[in-house]
Amino acid sequence: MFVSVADLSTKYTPLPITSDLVTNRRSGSQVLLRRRRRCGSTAKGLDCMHLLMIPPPSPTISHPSHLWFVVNFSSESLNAEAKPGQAIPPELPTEVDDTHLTMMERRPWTHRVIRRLPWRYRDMLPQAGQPLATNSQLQNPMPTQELSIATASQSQNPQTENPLAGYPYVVESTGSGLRSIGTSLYIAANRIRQCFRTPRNKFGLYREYTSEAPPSHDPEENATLQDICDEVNSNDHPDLSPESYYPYPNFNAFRLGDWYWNGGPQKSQASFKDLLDIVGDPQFSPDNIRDVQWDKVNHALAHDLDWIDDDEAKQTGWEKMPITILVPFQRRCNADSNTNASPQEYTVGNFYHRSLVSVIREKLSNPDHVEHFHYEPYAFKWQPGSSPDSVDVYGEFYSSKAFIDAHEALQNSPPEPECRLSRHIVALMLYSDSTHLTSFGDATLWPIYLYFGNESKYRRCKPSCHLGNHVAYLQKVGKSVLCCLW
Amino acid sequence: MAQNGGKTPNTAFMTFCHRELIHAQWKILLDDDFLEAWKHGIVVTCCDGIQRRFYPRIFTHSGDYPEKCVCCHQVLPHA
Repeated sequence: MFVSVADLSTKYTPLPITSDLVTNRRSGSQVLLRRRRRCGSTAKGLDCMHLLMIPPPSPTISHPSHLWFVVNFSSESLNAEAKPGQAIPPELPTEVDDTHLTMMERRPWTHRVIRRLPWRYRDMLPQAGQPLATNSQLQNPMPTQELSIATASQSQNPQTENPLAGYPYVVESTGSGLRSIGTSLYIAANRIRQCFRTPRNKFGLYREYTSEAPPSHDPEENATLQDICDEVNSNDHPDLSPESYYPYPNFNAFRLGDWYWNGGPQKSQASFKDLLDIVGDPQFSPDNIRDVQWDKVNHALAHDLDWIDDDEAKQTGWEKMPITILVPFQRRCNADSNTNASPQEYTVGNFYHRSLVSVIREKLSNPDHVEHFHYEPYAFKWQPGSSPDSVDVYGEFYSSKAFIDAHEALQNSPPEPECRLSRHIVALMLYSDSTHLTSFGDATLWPIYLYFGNESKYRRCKPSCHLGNHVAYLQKVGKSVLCCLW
Repeated sequence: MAQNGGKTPNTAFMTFCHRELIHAQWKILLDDDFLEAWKHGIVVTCCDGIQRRFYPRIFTHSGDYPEKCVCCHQVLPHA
């Protein structure tokens, strides 16, 4: 069992962890001190170390000074589990025949120093927050009614007995939302919110949920370092179906067509090598390209612009709608200008878009994404060491004040009639920017992307997670087209 | 171009057209279904088998050109 020096000093009489320990051993008591030479031997120097406490050999001996302690300075002992039966040499070997050893190995084992990096050079990997609870615990019914009364009466004393003591989180009766909005409102609506707090992780970070019941879904329960690092998985590119190469009939024909159209207008050594790579690929088969009708394929490439009208495209939710705007118009050169001095309709083009609700529904039903989807916001806090105060940590969108405020406003709003479902915010984050499609020329697109703030920013920024959703392609007003109005 | 004496539309006119066009497109995007979901939520059966009611909220919109700004408070009534 590991005990710290602080525990010892509170539970027992402080032991003289100095040379007295050695003296005790020499005088026949069962205390052993293994000490690094350069480390200070005072109790202050032992703060970061662990003491291995071994039960006294006889139950009749109760004074802690008779316990066995091994003060272990090696780095392995800081993290390794102690074994109660760990072998302790009964006596230090005083005279050992070490003539068969080299000069380096002849140093007494008591003076050997295990080299390790100084603290400032040690690094700790990022660690996910502590999990909330197991599913079985989360499904326990919550005594909401009793809690509401208890909360109202105990709001001044959060340390009183708490009905959720069996839960693995700290539950406080007074959450921030409770204070800001008022207790009476909660009792009237029979909706008392609690403050569920996860244990602190090794960095002192913890999550604090303010809700009526513990969160039903913990996205960070299974979060691993792999989920947020930049490493690209080779399996992230799934095999495409033959339909993906339309109008080319197969992959090899597509590669050849890509080489022909995108490889530059002139022959070059690099282009020749690209061609050799295509033809020399083990997957290349001459049968694939022998019967390809290249003229038809190229014609389809040039003229098949109405891809959005395909039934397949409609199934994916894309819609096409002509956009018409009113522009101020006056035919100055015409004699009867007053009759035409009214806004004229001008059709810019087709607006390709998807329904936002369908995108949201698709997102929430995607089993690959829902595991990391945060249904409820939380306050992310840092409480280092024994500090009584916590510091707010900003980073993710679902721990931001905007999200928490929106969530609270939603919970405080009247629910839908006869609906007892839990209500959640879907945070939409839209992004649009015009993009060039070619290196030369003016072919551009202006897409709108939709991201969800309920996802971690580390996953949103990881292209292999595929978390960006195309929502629409905006149309532009061109000067040359507008001039036709005059 | 020849019809208007070689004059091109001025900047204010183009800004007006840009704004009208972007608002017309956003009006299509923020359709009745979306407004209904904004006010009353949409019920989705999630992958864990639990039914939840979701309310979409637009928190950020990153884009160019201030004249194309869409003010959600005018378009969308508060829930």
